Amino acid sequence: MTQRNWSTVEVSAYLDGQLEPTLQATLESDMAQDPTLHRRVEELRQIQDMVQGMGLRVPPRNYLLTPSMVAAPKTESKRRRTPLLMMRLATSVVAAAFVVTFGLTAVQRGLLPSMMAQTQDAPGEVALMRESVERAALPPTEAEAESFKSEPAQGVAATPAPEGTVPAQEESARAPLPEAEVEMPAEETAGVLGMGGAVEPEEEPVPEAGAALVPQPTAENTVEEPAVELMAEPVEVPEESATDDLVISEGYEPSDDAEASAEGRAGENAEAVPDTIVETLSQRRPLVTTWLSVGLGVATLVMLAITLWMGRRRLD
Amino acid sequence: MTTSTETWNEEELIQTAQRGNLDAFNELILHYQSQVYNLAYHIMHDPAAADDATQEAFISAYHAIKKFRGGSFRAWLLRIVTNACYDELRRRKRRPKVSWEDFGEMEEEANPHLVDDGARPEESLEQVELRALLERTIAKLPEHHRTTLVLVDRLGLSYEEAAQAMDIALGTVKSRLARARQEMQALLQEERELLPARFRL
Repeated sequence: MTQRNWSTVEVSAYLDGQLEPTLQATLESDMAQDPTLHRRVEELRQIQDMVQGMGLRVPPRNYLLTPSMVAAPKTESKRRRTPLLMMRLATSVVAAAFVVTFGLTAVQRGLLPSMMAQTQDAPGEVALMRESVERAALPPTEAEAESFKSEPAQGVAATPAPEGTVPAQEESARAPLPEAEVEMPAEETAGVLGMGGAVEPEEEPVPEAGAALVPQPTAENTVEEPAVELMAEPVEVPEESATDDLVISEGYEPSDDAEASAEGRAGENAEAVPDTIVETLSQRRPLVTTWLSVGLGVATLVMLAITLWMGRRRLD
Repeated sequence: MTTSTETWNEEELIQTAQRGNLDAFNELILHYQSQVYNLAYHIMHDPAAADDATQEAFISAYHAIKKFRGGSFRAWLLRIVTNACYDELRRRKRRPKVSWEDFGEMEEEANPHLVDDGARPEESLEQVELRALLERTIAKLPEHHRTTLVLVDRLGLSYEEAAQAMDIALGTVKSRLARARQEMQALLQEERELLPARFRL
């Protein structure tokens, strides 16, 4: 007959009478047959007897309570706890604000590249809006200089402008815009292309070979712009300057009229497309939220350190 | 305030104390202060700290007695002092205030608890020495094992009461107690020459 392998927990429970009756009987039977198990149980019982027989220490004093003892510490504790609670609350609020701002920044940074890609791909109105906003944001002299940039390619820049005027197509031709997006009267456009100049402004332009390269005026994208006398001679700009770089011709000397016209145009554009200004502000928003989240993060850390310090002080 | 055992009625005293009667609560204190102090002493292993913890525990118990919903009042009280001692131990771990060297340099007169080692006049020298040895050995046990051993073997709580006092399962009490006894046995084996002849393992 094989004996059961009794664990210390079972032997200990047996000493306290906490073993089930059947197990207890089995253990006693095994003890009678196994001297090692019997000795094991007795040694543990001896420890139990020693600890139980120690006797209790006499307390050094009575711990009777008085009314002042049960009243004073509570108010004192409350008084000391209030600033800490307020500090904890403030830290929580700042931390929550930090998390929200950080999340917004992350979302904006994640979405912005795709928005920019859409803007670049989107022809027509979106590009026109961007153009207008950029011009509106420029100071008067820069806007003036901008007007002298020209695109020599595609047969547009090579065409001399009318005497003393800067036609609006120069601005539109400056950047390689894919579709019609210029503030240029249809009559002038037709003249530039040598199409006879007999096209009525109200008529739909006839799509030809150069139509994709030349801005086509439509009812939506045509902004009536007064022709302004800017210079006596047409200005040729090198081909490299067809980029966004600002190039001012040597022969150009800005006159008061030109500056006034540029100011007027800038103001006009700003009034004409208020939505695009909002878009510009929204593009700046990631930078603002980034700095805001950094500030809140620093504030959270500082307040957390103060709260921990206050908590430790209270415990001490 | 009556303290005789004839008039001792714990349930009635508890109900009176729950109505805010401090005298009734002091009756309960007189009855349980020895057990509360001894448990605090074994957990803290420092008479002064045990004294503070005991007083704090009774004040906390008075403020919380309205929340007592029956069961073993002793276990409920010992649970409060256990938590108070654990809190104090955690606080000491974070920031130890007095090193053992500083403690040793203190004059005994400055701390009466060091002079009074709990010896009773009727105790023989052998008993005093045995008690000191056992206390040192108990102090070497892990914190939870020590508490379980003191509650069951020193203070005589049942397994159920010990489980309530430590807020653990009954099975955990069994296993902790068994391990504590086994560890005590191993530790005493190392110092068996200090044990009285009748207790040599």
